Amino acid sequence: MSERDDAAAVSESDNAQAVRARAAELAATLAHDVGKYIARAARNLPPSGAIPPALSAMLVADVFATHAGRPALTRFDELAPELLTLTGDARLETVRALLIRAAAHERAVRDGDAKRSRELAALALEIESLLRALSRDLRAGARR
Amino acid sequence: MSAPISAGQRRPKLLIVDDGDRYVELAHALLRDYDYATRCTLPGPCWTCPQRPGCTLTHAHDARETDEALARHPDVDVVLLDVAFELPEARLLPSSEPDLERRKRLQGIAILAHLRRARGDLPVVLMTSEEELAFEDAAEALAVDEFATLAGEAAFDARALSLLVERVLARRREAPEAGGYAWGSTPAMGRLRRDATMLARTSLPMLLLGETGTGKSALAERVLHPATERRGPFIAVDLAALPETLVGAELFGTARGAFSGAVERAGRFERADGGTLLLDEIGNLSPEQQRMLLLVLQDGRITRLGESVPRPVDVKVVAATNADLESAVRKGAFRADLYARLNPAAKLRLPPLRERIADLPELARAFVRKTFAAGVDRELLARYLDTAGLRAASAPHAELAIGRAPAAPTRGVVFVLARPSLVALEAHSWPGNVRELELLLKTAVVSALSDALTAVEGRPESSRPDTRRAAGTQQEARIVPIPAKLVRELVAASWTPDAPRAPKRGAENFEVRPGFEVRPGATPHEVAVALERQLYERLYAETDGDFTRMARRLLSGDAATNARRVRLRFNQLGLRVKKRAVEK
Repeated sequence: MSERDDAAAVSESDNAQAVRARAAELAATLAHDVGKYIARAARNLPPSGAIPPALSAMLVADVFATHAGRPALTRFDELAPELLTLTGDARLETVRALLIRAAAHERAVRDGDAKRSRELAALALEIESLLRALSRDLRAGARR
Repeated sequence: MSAPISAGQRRPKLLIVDDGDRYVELAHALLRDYDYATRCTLPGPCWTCPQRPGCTLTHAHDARETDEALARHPDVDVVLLDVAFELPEARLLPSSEPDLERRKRLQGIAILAHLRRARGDLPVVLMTSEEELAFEDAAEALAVDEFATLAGEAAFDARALSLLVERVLARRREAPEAGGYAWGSTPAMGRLRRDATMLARTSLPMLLLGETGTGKSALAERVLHPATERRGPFIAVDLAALPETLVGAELFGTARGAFSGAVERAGRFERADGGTLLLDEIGNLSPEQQRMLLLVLQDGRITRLGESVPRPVDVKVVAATNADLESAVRKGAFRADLYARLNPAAKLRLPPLRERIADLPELARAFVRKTFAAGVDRELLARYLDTAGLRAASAPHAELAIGRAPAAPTRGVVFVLARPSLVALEAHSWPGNVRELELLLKTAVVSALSDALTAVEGRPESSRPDTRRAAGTQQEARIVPIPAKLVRELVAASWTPDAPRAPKRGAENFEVRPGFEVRPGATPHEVAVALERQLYERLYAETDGDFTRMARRLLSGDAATNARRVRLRFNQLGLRVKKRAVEK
């Protein structure tokens, strides 16, 4: 290989590393701003029986005022497109679909519907789990 | 939802540091077995407070408010710290990081480093996980900090978070450098540990025997009182330090007018109600005071001086002495019935250090960690690490290696005590016991570190180690040998139970001019040391930091040796060489 080829190979490798680092950073931000916050009250609901009003209020805030007072879906849509372009990871589509399903629960949960609240909590935990796994994987990729 | 706290324990106090309300809402809803350090003055928990809605005093939102809350609540046990802070730039800690978003994302790490400087031993739980911390430098900083814990998935799981906090608290209780008790591993200490814990749980009085400096007070405060699981406070009274005429009023309290100038005042027994009272140097009580104490132990009631109606008190009494009480009883100097009430059959004897010399290496390691766990010595360590280019975001940390330096230390500073120095320490008789060992080691490592810092500061900046280069030089700077000569000198001169040595007249025109401030202390020795410190400060200023000239004023004999001794005493007194001073 010529010196020019060597330089091109190094530059390509540097670019790939920068892309992996950016993807890991975006995924970490998603795991924090969406995954972590959405699951706060969901993780603490009692396994059965009535949901304490304090937890119910927290659940509503977690999903529908997740980041700077805006819903989780809004924050997701700010961060996910760039990450999808960088990685093409299908889990991002899955998370978006779950967030849309969660949004459909808003009225019922605000009205105190315990069954729909538990469904919303289950969705929130699934979203958190997917985003954590995505962040973990991309972080491991960035280290290679 | 949180881990059960047994009835007698003080409730651990948590400080939440978060830019928003997420953690505090969760904690107030589900973790009500803890106390919380707030920035408000109202009593009672926040969740019962009528002013709770909209209140922002429930926790700290940035570094400044964290300092404020810790100043108000020095008894905080654990800090729960968020990592990402969405705050205006003016409220972030100063940083060389140009990317504002990154600064906000990692503000919690900056606050952690800030806390480490001020309160190095305070456990911090970072309310984040590895998945959320993509920035490698932050993850590295955490990996080297033994008092920082990542909450991970426990961050928002109240039950798991409570268990995590309990684990952190238990670890802290066990750490000698963080207020625990260094037991060592000799059989005598093993038996003492077992017996002490067992007896502490009973309602019986306890009697601690041991030479001065063996750790009787520390055992009572750090081991026995927590083991009693009593809700009340730990109160100690040094009976040797109180004038005989004041002992009765101090122990039992006074009624207004009991004697000239007497005011309504609770004594130590009442203040220790529900808790533990340590009566140190009980062999010093006069016959009348012994009689009064006997009455308390017999019926659990005290009578304030000037009153006639007794008051009930529920106090676990721990008596300690370095005197031979049995002999005093035989001679009639100590009441036999009081001695019998002190449960002598179950007395605990703390062995002198010379009888547990095998514990010396373990004690030495614990004392070195304790020296640099907080305070001015920790600041000195941080300054050395910074100056030597060894500090990224890691906490200042010090370890002691005995014999050989570790091959490749990767964190903090490792002090190396040579084998011959250990032999010299083990051969010493240790009349001041564990307390003497602690002071000697503190003097040795602080002196060694001061010398290392002076050497690094004397080098041009370009030749100092840097975190990004010169890995070999960096490792070299992490190792600070403790000179064998220094250890020998300290062993020869360390324990001076008397007041400072009187200066010899004639060596230099010496005159202690008036103007020393005499402040009352707990013991005559404490007062003498405070005066000695003022004398050294004054001489240091007058001689422009010239230890040889200071030595000429204070001591006769060989000037070079005396200068060294004066400098060691200077360090022992907690004084520090000023940067610009001429050091000889």
